[in-house]
Amino acid sequence: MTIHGRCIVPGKAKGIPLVLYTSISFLGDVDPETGALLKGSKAGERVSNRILVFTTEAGSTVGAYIIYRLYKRGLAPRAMIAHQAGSIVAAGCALAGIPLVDKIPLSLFRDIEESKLVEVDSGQVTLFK
Amino acid sequence: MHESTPLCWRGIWRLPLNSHRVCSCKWKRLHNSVGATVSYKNIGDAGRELLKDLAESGVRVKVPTTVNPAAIDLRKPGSLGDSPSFREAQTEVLKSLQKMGASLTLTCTPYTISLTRPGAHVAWGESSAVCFANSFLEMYTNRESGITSIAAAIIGKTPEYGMHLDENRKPEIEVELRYKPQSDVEYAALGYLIGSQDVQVAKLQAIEALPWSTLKLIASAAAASGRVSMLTSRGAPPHSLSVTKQALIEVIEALSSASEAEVAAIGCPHLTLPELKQLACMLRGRNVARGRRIWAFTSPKAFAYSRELGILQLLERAGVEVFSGACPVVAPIENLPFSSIATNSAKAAHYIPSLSGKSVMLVSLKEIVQEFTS
Repeated sequence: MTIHGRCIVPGKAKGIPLVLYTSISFLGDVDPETGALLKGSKAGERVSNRILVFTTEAGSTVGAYIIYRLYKRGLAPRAMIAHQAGSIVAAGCALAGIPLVDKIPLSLFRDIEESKLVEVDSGQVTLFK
Repeated sequence: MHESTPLCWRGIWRLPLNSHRVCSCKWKRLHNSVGATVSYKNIGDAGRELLKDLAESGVRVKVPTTVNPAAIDLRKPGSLGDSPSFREAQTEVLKSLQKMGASLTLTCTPYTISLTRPGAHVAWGESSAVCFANSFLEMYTNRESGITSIAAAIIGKTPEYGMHLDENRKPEIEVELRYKPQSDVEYAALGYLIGSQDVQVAKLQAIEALPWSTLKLIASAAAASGRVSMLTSRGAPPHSLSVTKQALIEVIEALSSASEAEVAAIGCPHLTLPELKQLACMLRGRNVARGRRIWAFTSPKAFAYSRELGILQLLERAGVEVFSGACPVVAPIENLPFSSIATNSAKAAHYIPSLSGKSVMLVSLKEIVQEFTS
């Protein structure tokens, strides 16, 4: 299954999905030292090397620096998929060269979660069951 | 910067431009930039690390670049709740910015530092200064984030969109005053009310006739409560907002969570030299009362001038603590043992409760002088 979204940061990456059915604030929701989620139903899971999926962004613009910091420590997600990205996540992904795609319908989040592997390629999301 | 970092400065604007082909869009050459990325309390270790990496990798700014206030005044250790490790981290942030070629002006009033030139396109990362520059200095700037202002300074350009285009500088609403504000705090409340209308450009008749000290309070409040980037006296907007005395009182009440305060903070945005002079005049023959404190925040430049002119000495003799290059909003004052703070700035009143947990009393400068001195 292939979904076409809006390419915000181009690039190709493949990995295991981690789907949040909520927004994400990289400042506060993610531990910059370990990559672990600190809040929500997926608390304790690490975003590192996953294909991180979320609805939208929230919180401080410092979130962009946190993405960069995770990246430098090798703890960042491989790619990010959003329903609606914002300038914080866009700036952070651009700084760290993490492929980012948005405009992915919320109704497809379940399909993404049920996939074994997800590939992001410049705006295109492919699901492997 | 470690070797594999794929830093793409232009890519930072992909989202606002709604395009991943940012390299082919139109770019404006910048006259100067103001980096917002300064307070260690705000940017934390993640921001400190990015700036350090940049400075060490040899990245330099291409246009004159000033910086926002730091969290604290390094000459007065501990006075704003800062620990030795906080000071060390803040110093490192400032050193990194300096190494990148930015000048450590440490002020939210960059328009007092010779960066102003009518018609200039700039990338300022301080929302109150953005509103001031677009509104009253005939300059062109979007509201930049810490990252985009630094990125713009490094490449010397910014994408030509938003407030850089004349078509976006037309007012969306006209503010009609049914009551003329009578004090600084009422004007600050007016700015706050305009900001809460969810518009980018608003019209207010004869706004330019107001003094700078008032315009600073209006612009900073409008940019804090909303996304206002410009106030103008020109244009024929389709909608209007009628402002009554009652509406301003309600704003002041909504922003006031305390009826008493131990500390009064003025200088958000930073007091200019004439404002320091005015404060010294208001305090003639008076002293800060026992158990009370008045904090005045200003730029290092105005601080130095006020010392040369003897104004600083007058203020200090009256018991006022004058901070240079610091900011009451982003200082770690949650570490200080007082519970509430008085201010005449609606911007400060908006941010202080959430950023440092203090309650706020929003009052005029005149009331602060009456209440806090004898």
